[in-house]
Amino acid sequence: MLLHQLSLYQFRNIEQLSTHFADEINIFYGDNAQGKSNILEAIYLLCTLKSFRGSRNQELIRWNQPEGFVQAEVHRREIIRDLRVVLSGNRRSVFIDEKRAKSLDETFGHVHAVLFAPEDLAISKGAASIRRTFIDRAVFNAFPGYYNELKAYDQALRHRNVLLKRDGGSIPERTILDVFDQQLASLGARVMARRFSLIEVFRPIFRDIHRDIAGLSRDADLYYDPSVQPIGGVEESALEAALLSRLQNELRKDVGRGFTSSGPHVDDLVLMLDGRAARSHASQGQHRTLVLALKITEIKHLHTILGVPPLLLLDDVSSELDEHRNNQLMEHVVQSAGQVFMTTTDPKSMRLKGKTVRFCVQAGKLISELSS
Amino acid sequence: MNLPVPLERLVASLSRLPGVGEKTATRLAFYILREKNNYAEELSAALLDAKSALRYCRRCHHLTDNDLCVVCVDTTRHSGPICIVESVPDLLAIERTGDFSGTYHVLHGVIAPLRGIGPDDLRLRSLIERLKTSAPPELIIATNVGVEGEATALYIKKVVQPLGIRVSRIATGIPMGGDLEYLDQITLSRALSGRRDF
Repeated sequence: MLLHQLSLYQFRNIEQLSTHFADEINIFYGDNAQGKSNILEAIYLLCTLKSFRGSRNQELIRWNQPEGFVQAEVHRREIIRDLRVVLSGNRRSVFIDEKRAKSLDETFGHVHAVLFAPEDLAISKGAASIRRTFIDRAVFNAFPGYYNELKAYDQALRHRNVLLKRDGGSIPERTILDVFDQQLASLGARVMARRFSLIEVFRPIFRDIHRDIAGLSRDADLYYDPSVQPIGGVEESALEAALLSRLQNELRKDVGRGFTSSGPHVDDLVLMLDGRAARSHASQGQHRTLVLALKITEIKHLHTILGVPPLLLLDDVSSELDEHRNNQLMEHVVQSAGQVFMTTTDPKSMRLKGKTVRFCVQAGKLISELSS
Repeated sequence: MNLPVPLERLVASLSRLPGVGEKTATRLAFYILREKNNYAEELSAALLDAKSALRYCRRCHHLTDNDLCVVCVDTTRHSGPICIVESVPDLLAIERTGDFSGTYHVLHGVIAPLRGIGPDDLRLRSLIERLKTSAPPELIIATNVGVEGEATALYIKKVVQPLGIRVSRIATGIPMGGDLEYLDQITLSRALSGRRDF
């Protein structure tokens, strides 16, 4: 998968920009706050319709402008498509070859990227919600319809939470609660089943990759840690039954807290290192290796699904490259991916194999291109 | 640009209509004003008349200008099943198929705690009364397919169960003339999981 050409219009601090990219490695360098990461953010937006900084249109569209867009020419297996995401008001519309995408299927799936940024260390060290987001994105990549399933679960959950709070601490009317419990159990079981089967696919790849980069003496593992343990297998029907009985048994507690305490919205993905939970036991360096292994797993998984490697976006990883060892680790990531886009304040630290083009970014403009 | 107050008021009222923005409202307003043959009088009379003459059917809550709606007036349909729908447009859609010979019950909404809508805000009590006095052979729940429509369907099933009436839910799946390759994944996977023996 290749992003051949990219144009930005009224995006962040970039008024207008159009450029071509190298097939292998593209480096954006320059001082802080010049717009390097904005270029990666634009590419990420093309892939996911989301900002990796969680920004809204208001922040993405250049100050005082009514709208902006990101457009790119994507090559995949010799097929060239023109992709455009138009930001206007609160809307994000996708155009494929100048035609507006109407359904979820039309909107997504044309270009895929894996992002690696310094904050990603939180996948190993941080809160469970960060790991849930990680799994959910991976499931979504394999099955775009998951987006609607997750949304439906969330909607049912919010309805139930309103019911829990409505009567000021007393048990709500049973029939209506039962109805939402059933909905929550069936939609939640679907979400859990999808995550379980994804982790099933991820696990062997992850273990192999970690052994590759950390050495044979280190044994990493990962598993899905559900808030509700199903009896028997992890089939959807078993999960549904377990979730439903948990919701009913914990009703009193849930009413007291004013929210639903069990379900996929509180589940976790546990990373293990040498038989212990990495979150509380791993060192800084070990966290980094675990996250790198996860990212490479994500890349390989996408490669399998798509038949071509995804794009790799590396945001501000120069600090990661200071040491010789880290440089070697990054080499692993870069080799597993297709085309690479990275930002850095120090272009000299980037010594990666592959045909490289460097772009100097200054005040929202690309001012020079150096090939090596 | 400031419009004269009466015109601005007309534009503001029109733009409250669903699907009508400021621009369209302005265009409609100018059309109404320009049109001859007392169009404005005709329109306002029609609006007021519709508003004052129309009410909900005593039996099923469909729109009518009588005590009973056109469906309920037809006693030959009384022995058929009752089809439960969310709204009048949904009723009209089913009626247009010409394939349904029972009567309807319009809920005028769905259960949605997030928006503060509970079972008591729907026309459910009258449904139970109806079922007690005249047991239909079947109750078809035709609420929309989504979290709220599904929750409402489940709720009705639960409250109707003690009455021992057969309850069914409309099918979901592949539309007629639908090419599998063009279907979205959700519809297709629902159709797969809801397959039946052939």
